[in-house]
Amino acid sequence: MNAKSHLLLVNREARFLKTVSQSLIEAGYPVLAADSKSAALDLLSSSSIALVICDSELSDCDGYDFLAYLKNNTASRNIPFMFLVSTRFVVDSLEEEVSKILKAFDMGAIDFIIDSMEDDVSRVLIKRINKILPADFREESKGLLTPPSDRSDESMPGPAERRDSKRIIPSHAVSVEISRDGVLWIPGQITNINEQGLKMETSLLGKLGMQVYIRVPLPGARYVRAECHIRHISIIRHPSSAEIGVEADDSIEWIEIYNYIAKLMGIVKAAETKQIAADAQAPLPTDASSGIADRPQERKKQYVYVDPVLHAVHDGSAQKVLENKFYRSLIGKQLGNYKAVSFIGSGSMAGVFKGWDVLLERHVALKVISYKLSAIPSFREMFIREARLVSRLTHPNIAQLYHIDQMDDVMYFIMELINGGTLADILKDRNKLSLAKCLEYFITTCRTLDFVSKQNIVHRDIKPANIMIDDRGVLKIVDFGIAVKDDGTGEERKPDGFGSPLYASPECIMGRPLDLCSDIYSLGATFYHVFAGVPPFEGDSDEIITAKHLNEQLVPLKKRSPMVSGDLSDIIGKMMAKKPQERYQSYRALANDLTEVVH
Amino acid sequence: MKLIVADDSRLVRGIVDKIVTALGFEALHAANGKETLDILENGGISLVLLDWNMPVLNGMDVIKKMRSDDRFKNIPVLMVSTESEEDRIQQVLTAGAQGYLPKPFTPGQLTEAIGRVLPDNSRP
Amino acid sequence: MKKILGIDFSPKAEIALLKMMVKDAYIQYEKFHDDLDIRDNDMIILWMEDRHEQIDQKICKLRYACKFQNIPIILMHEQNRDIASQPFIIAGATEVLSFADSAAACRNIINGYLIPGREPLPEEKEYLDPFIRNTRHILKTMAGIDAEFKKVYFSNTIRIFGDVSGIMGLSGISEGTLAVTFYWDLAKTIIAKMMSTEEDLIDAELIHDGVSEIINMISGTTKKDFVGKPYHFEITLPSVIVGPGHQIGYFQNTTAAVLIFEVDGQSFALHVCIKPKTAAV
Repeated sequence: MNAKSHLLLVNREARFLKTVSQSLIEAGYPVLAADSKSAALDLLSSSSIALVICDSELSDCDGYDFLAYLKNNTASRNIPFMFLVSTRFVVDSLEEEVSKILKAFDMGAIDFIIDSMEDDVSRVLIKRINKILPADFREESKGLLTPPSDRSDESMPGPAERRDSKRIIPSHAVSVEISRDGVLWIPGQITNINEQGLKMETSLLGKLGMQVYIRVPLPGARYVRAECHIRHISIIRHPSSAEIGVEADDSIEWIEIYNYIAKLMGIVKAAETKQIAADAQAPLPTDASSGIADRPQERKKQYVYVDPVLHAVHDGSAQKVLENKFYRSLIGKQLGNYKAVSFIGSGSMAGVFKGWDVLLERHVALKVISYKLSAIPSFREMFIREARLVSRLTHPNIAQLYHIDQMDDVMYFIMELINGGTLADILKDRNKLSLAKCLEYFITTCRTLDFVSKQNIVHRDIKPANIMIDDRGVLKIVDFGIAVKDDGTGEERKPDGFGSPLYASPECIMGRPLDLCSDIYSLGATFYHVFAGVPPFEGDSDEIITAKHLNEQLVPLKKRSPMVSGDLSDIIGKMMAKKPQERYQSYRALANDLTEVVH
Repeated sequence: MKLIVADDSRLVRGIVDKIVTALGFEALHAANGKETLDILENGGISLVLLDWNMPVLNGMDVIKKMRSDDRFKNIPVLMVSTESEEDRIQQVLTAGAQGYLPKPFTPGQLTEAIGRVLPDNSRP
Repeated sequence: MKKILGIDFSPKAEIALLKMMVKDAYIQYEKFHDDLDIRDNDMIILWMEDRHEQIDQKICKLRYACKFQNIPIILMHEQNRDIASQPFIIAGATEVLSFADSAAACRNIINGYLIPGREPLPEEKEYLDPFIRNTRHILKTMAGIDAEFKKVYFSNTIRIFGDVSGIMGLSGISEGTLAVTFYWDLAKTIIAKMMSTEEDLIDAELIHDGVSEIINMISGTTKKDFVGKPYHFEITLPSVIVGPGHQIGYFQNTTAAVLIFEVDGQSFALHVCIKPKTAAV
């Protein structure tokens, strides 16, 4: 530890910064404070930082973005990062709270503290800092003042007392979930816990003696659940919630839950502190305990509380949020002769619904174009031109466009609904894919794109997610959404940047005019992923990936996947040449080479 | 004449109690399978109205235990359950219940079902 | 002409709202009070000057006054930053928008919510009809109550706004969730009638047992109607929960139908989300 190390406190509230900094300084910690990501980065570049303590929202960005930035940067990757979030500004539901905490841990945060306002947040914070940083951090640092006494700030009973008085009143509410059937989980707040069981406030109205399960989310997106019986019920805020007391059956799971909650509440014995500090360094579950985590198939059944229409909130701009709110307003509605049955997903330019054609009585895909793009005349024209182009592509391996229409200013496309999954979905379970099947998909895609290129159309976003396999096994190329007719002018551009960085060609990344050679590169990258099981270039950020596409030499496919033939490896290598002129210049030549590999 | 109303729901026990009391039975309540067996031990039971899904010991387990015990094997059992698919009913009858009444039921339907499972000479 | 009720708007905010208005919509402004009759409106837009506790209560009361009808409640504010909308959504708001957002965005979102709900598809009718029939049959048989089916709407989530609800998880060939939700008074009336007793004698345990039994019977009897069909399911144990504002999942590629019933002028709702595993995406 550098003798000049500081704690970096980042929070958009000036008053909060002042209060907490003051307490930390009084406790002997050297503190630097910032209210934004930019100010924090300035301090990070000029000072040595031992720990970052950050709010979930900063004045110029989201705390998670800041965390992602630090973790993607080699210089800052190893600095421990802790969230300190004030409930004064964010009043989240339990689901959101848990998902945020889990997200933070997944992203590499080391701790997550919620300032519930009922506690002296500085005291809690100092306790946690002591667990993360070496005990001698304060001595090493310059501003050595009076260290807080661990005893004096412990309002909790010590180990000896605890054995006598078993009941522990938590210093702040801890979240838990309760279920009758192990499928539907209802949130609750623990009001009281001891070694036999716990009391919680919840809206589950049980009855005495009823068997229930309780579970607690642990870092690493895993749950531990234990069987209990209801021993006490009282309606406390009639009729909105009940307090129920459960007695836990003896089990390893219960012991783990008890210990975890005790740790969360900061009531562990001093002797255990060291162990917890070690745990905190490694927040992911160990193998020894993973046996009692929910099995994957059970996890699948758990309800997802993240609104898929809005789930892009964190990785998108405010504009994206509004677009998604707009798509959400259309769920359960009818546009013209088309019912929006259910929401499938949204991309940068459109929201896609499973639809129903009331006249022809058939399922369709309803693609509603972003109202913002729909409103710009040049884009409207572009969409209509594209629609014309795509409607000409009558091919068994291309999703058909049936109709376009508009609702006020908003355009929508009615397309063939493909029942099945994308190649990206299939790649997640590669065991289902044989080498022969992969080759077959490769050749079919190649022939389809040959057909497309003959109409002077470049797809521009070839990737596994845009290649679908329907439930009859037929391959369909979808989303010619950013397709552009290659008329040699190179004037038309996709509204926002390029397609997926994992499969983007160097010329696409550089914003140059694209021709079929760009699609050939992306097709090569897509099938590199299919055969190798990993994309050709990987990295923690788009910037790293695009830089590799531009400059890094490709690891030959054969090296990654010894099963494939040298010829196939060479074909993909040629498709992914950095210079377009070194790639295949036509799909015909490519298809011929591929057919030879098969025979 | 005594019968057991076995159901974990106090509401259902209350509903059934009213109907069978009007028929002249004395209804003894059990909230789970184990309580049902405990009451049977005391003797004098002419009929068991049994819910399928109960905690501790479910309705099917109760039937199996009753049928393997000489003291209880001739006491008629009427299973009352919300699940009324044919294979479920067969499962219950094969296990040894005399009758099956799907929920929801009217007082008339319960009376009729009791009549079907109870021998003529053992009606109140 | 669409009828919108604007609540608690200041004159300045009224002008700001005009910019977001769609054609064919008429806004009537009122101050919030407990006896607002909102049932004939196509949308409610509630203005929030500053964030304060009362707003959740207002939203709750407005949602309650909708009597399970799918009337969109839009909360408008003028703050620049994105405020956490979840608490308002849980309280019963449909969407939270800001005057700081682009007027075009708000206009389109408001317009989207003003589009009337769709009617069920033939395949949806095939599985919703048995639920409607059986729900009515159960209340008639067990409580002598005539429940009238009023209407259905569709959503991508189950959001419960009743006081007491019974929830059943479905598994098997089809997966999903059923949830019946009542306001306290109607729940007590039905349960008292089931037991042929006085409403005063209905305690929390009987409410639990009653709501649990109702969702159990709805699932159990309807399951029988689906034998041999892709909608057949197995039932688990019912959960009874109290209080409004619960949300059970968000569904991608599938939808939840909300069936609204009426008993002597009082409403209750049955949420049906059922997805055959073999179903097409």
